[in-house]
Amino acid sequence: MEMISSPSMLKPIQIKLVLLGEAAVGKSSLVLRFVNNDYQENKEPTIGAAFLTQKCKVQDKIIKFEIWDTAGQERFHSLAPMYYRNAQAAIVVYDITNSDSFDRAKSWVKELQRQATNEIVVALAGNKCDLHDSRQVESEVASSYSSEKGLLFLETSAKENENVNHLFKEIAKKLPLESFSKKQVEEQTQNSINITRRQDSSISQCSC
Amino acid sequence: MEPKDSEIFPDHNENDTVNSSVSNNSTPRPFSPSRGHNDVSSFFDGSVGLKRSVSQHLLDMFKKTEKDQDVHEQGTLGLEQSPSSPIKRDFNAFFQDNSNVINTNTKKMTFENFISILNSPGSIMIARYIKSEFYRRNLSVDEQKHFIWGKMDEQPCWNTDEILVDQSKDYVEKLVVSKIYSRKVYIHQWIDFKHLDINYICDEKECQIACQELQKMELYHAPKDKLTCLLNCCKIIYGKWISYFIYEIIKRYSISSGADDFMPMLIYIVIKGNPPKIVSNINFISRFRHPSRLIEENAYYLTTMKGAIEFIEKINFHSFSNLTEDIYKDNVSVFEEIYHAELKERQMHQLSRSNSINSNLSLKDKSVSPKGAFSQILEKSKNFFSKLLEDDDDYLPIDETKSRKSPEVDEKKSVTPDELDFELQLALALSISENEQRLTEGNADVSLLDTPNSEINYNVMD
Repeated sequence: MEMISSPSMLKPIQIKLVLLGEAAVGKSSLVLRFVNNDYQENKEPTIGAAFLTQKCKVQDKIIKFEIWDTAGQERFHSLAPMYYRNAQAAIVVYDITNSDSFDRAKSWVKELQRQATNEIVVALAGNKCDLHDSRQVESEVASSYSSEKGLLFLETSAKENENVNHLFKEIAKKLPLESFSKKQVEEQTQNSINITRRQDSSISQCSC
Repeated sequence: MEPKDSEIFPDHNENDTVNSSVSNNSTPRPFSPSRGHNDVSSFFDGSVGLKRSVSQHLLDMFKKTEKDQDVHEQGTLGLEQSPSSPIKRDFNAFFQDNSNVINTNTKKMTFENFISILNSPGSIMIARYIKSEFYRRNLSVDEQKHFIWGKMDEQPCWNTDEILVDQSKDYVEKLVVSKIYSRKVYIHQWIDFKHLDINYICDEKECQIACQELQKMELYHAPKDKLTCLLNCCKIIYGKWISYFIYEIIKRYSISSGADDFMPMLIYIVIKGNPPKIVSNINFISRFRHPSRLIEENAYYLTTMKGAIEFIEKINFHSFSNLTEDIYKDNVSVFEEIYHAELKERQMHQLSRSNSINSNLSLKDKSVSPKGAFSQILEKSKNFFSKLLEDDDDYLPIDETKSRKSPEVDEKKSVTPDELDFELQLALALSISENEQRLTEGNADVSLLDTPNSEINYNVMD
């Protein structure tokens, strides 16, 4: 997968990707590795690491990942729907050295498949795979679980930069890009204020 | 859809005791002057409000009702009241007997009347619905409103006079919209970093500066400017982290600097700083910022802020770590007392409101005050504006605001011309060098987005 480092002629397809997983499993490290791997000069300024973007080229199309990080602590669990609403992709991260985080990841997968949009692409990532010695979650277990649930599965290491780009590439491949680009073109052409269009999103809920 | 009768709702007995204690008051008095938001908040506290807002007439009326039938049962079985119930009769009688208070020709329901009726035993069901709706967050405000309106039509006690019920519905809207969460924020002022598992070292001043940005939101009218304030706050939170964070990344890849840390920090700042009307401001941004601009970072940080507010609205003992239940209860009760004391104080000293905004900000460390005379001027003018804005009861039609002799209105009048002139000059000073102020406050290393000052000028000219 080729990273795009110069502004392209093509309008990128925006993909909202949400990161879920217990606190301290390395969600943000994973994304930072993906985003900062190749240093780009024309990088858009960002406020902080909780929201990052990265452009990639897949099948002659440029897609722009908007990566929404979520707070993984249990006490913030109920806020997650605000984040994964309208997301086209999700990465559920767990720590291979922590079996609790795998259980937590499973419950995220369940929730996503029940509540998120139907065509959402979900990937399961077993992070910290460099720490073989303290492994608690066997690769086979996670792999068979993923195939059962129809998820993408990879073991990654943000520290060693293992499988990180590969993970995002696989997600990009699995996305129904054709329909997204069509949809976005349509939205751009009807560039008028259409209040009903975004009814299901939290942003447009009238609270006044 | 039946709301649970839980700790959310004050005990019926509590209402009763308040009623009876007020009815011992021998001198009948007209409706007490409105206390604006305080009135509403005390309604939700379920204790203080009644004393001030219920008229003697109304109390007599309820006493009569009590004789007729068991009020407790009436309250809990409110939906089964027959249309000719005594409560309904009294509702009508109330408006006829009190022509000195309410002009029956124009049939005007004031907010005080509304609150009184809402606190009456016959309205228990409606009151319960309104309160429970506050906790049912998956409904939009519109949905909540329609739900309660529907219930009001079913309730015989409200189903009396179309015009009055119509006006009452406006007040239901007002109640639902002005979610009173400030008390919740206030009684948790004691929290510390460890209670939210905030691990990194962060100094108080950083938090104060971040919070000042949130408080500035009140000064601007345009959704873009309000949003800029929010983003500035987020930037400051991150600004602290940058050096720490890059160092760690180079060194080791295992630290988390994303939402895991950001969210608790934002919650901490909102609680400690208690920015005025933050809920309304955030909703305002969502509603009026053009959707095509509410994308990417803007959308993300707005969502995070909404999440923080939602978290605070539901906050309880289980929201914190490193804390025992006893300590939690003790702390909350201490701050609850302070909160009520402060409410009283605000009524006593009209001008103290603006100061308390300021004191909330520097609860812990009073020594961190802006340096130099200019900073003081700036601070003063900020207070002046936040006071003006906070007192602005913009939900009510103008004629109604005039007719009410509320302390807030008096407060505005009590500003002498000299004072006003002085404040205006300060405001102009403020609008000229807001940016300079940032430098003097020592956060020049954080590159902030520019918030235009034109809005402030506009306020002054107005």
